[in-house]
Amino acid sequence: MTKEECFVAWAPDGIPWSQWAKPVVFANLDRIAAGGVPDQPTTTLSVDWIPEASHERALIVDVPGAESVVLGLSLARRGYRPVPLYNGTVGPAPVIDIEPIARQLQAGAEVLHGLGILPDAPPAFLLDAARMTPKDAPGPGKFDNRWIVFPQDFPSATYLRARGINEVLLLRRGTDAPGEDLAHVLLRWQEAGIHLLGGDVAAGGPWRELRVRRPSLFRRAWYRTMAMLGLRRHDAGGFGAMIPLASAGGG
Amino acid sequence: MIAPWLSANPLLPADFAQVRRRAVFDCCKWDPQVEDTASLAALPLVLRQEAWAELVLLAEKLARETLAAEEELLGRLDLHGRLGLPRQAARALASANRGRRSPGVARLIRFDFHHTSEGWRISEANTDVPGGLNEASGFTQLVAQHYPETCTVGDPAGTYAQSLRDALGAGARVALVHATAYSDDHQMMAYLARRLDVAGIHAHLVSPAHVRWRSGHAYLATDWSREPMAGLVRFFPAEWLPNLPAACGWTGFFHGSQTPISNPATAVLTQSKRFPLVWDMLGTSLPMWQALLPETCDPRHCAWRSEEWLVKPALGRVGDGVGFRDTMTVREWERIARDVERHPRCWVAQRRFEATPFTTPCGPCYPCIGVYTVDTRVVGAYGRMARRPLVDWRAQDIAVLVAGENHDLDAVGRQVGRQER
Repeated sequence: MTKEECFVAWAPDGIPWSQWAKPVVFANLDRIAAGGVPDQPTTTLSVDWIPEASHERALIVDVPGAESVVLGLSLARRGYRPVPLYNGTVGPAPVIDIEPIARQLQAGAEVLHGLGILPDAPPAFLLDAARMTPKDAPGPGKFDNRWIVFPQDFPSATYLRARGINEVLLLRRGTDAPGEDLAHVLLRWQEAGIHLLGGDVAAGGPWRELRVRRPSLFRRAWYRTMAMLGLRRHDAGGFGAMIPLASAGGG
Repeated sequence: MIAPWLSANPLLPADFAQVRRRAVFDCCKWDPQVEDTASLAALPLVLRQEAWAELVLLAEKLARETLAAEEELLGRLDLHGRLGLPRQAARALASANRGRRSPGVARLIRFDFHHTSEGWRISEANTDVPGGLNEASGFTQLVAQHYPETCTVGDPAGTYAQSLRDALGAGARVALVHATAYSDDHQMMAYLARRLDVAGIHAHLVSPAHVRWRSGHAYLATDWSREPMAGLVRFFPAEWLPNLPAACGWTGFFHGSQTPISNPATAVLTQSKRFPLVWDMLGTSLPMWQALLPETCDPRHCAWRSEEWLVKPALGRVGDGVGFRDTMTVREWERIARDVERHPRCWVAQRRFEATPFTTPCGPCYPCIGVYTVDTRVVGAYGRMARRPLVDWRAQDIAVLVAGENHDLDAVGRQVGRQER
């Protein structure tokens, strides 16, 4: 399957949610995946605790690495339309290893073909929770491909409600609270009356009502620029922070 | 007044889906959707030939004036404080003035034109790091294939790549310097790298923190390369550079480099929206700028809260932070207004103009035609179209085409039709 066919499998023409699928990983599949075998089988996760697809509900899967793809495929079996929102760039010596996700997307494309997801299936947006947290401390000579999500990466609350969606479930691992970048998205939805619930994949639930707190620079025109500049930090530190340089320049 | 454009039929949905996919995979268009808006328009903006000819004339005059003013302004340290620049950038400019400024190559500028009830006007010039090359070249060519009565207005990415090749030589190594983590910026650099490759230049996609200088010569300090570079292409705004750690030597983009840069960070002098505030103090004559840019004031010297004005941050990008009272909520406007009152030196007020709407099947839209120049020669255009008279992140990219030589479309009064397949 070519990288383009792979993208079309995940974001078929004529499906409304396909518009939001991020193409950057697919566009570079030949560079990062190159036909490799995924580290994890494509359908191993139990999702019985997640409600079956309903037109009134959307999901956001925000778990680390390739597990998010596997979870997306499992949810596809429950009637959801997985929508990949991976937006990490590709370069030599990258800070974030996108390859496992790319391989899983490639393998998953074949699986998706056979699932017969309904055209009006509700979306399950897929994110890599490790988008800002590389396994190893990033060195100064690395290619910085950490990324964050912005409200513009998702449909607006108005669009969701127009499609009948009034509830969003957030799936994370080890927590059920959103990260700071996602809080900018979810708070907009919450303010528009969309009901938010969070669940921890590690615990298999239970669902807990989310009350998203106001993140810094919420709705500020400068947020996007400031975030990319690395001037804002969340409580765990390092939100968009520049990769530190070695003590001496030159050399 | 006759509109400078012709109406055009949108692409058929199946054709547009194909164009969108080709834009993604062939032209590195990796942000085809922004919130609820498809970022690519399904129809082109087809200019009348005489309209494009006029834009070429105006843009080339603007480019010559801009470069002359920038040259003079670099030596006028007394005026730098009026431009709303970060303190560290101002210090770097002062050093550049002491005769060690970094050399430029293939100077790229984009002038943003709007058609108004009084003819063409510009809202601003992107003299520092103009974007949109992948849409202006790649996407535009894809759309043009469906409108055989038209032609493109140029291939800005290809011509820019060729200019770099001509200046630096075939086989040269060039660093494309940008915020690597930001896919919106990375996509344009990735596309330019492809075009440079075709032109015979080896491109390296790196961040500004990866560039160091040894005896004035730029080289890469990365885990994958430590090669010297023959040239640098900067797509990282000059005013962001001071946010980098000092150890990475970001001042080399302003001064001290012997490696040519496109564009040197001294471009920030004319990038500032407060540039018009120093015109009267320059010896350089700027008649085209004065004719085309709406009246521009320090907010302290005009009634900027009235509906006749809008306010812009001195160093804003992509419409970020523009205060346009009747297109935003009261809360958004008041937030901006508070900032203008607290920091008027970082803002500028500009008199509003009445933009000519472009009729589309979705209703009236307001086009902005960003005309690129390379070394003062027009090389193409980047079209955007907004539902409201403010071009910001909600705007769509629209292919700018020009009616073909043999099609007197106005005389026959028919629409430009797409090629049915």
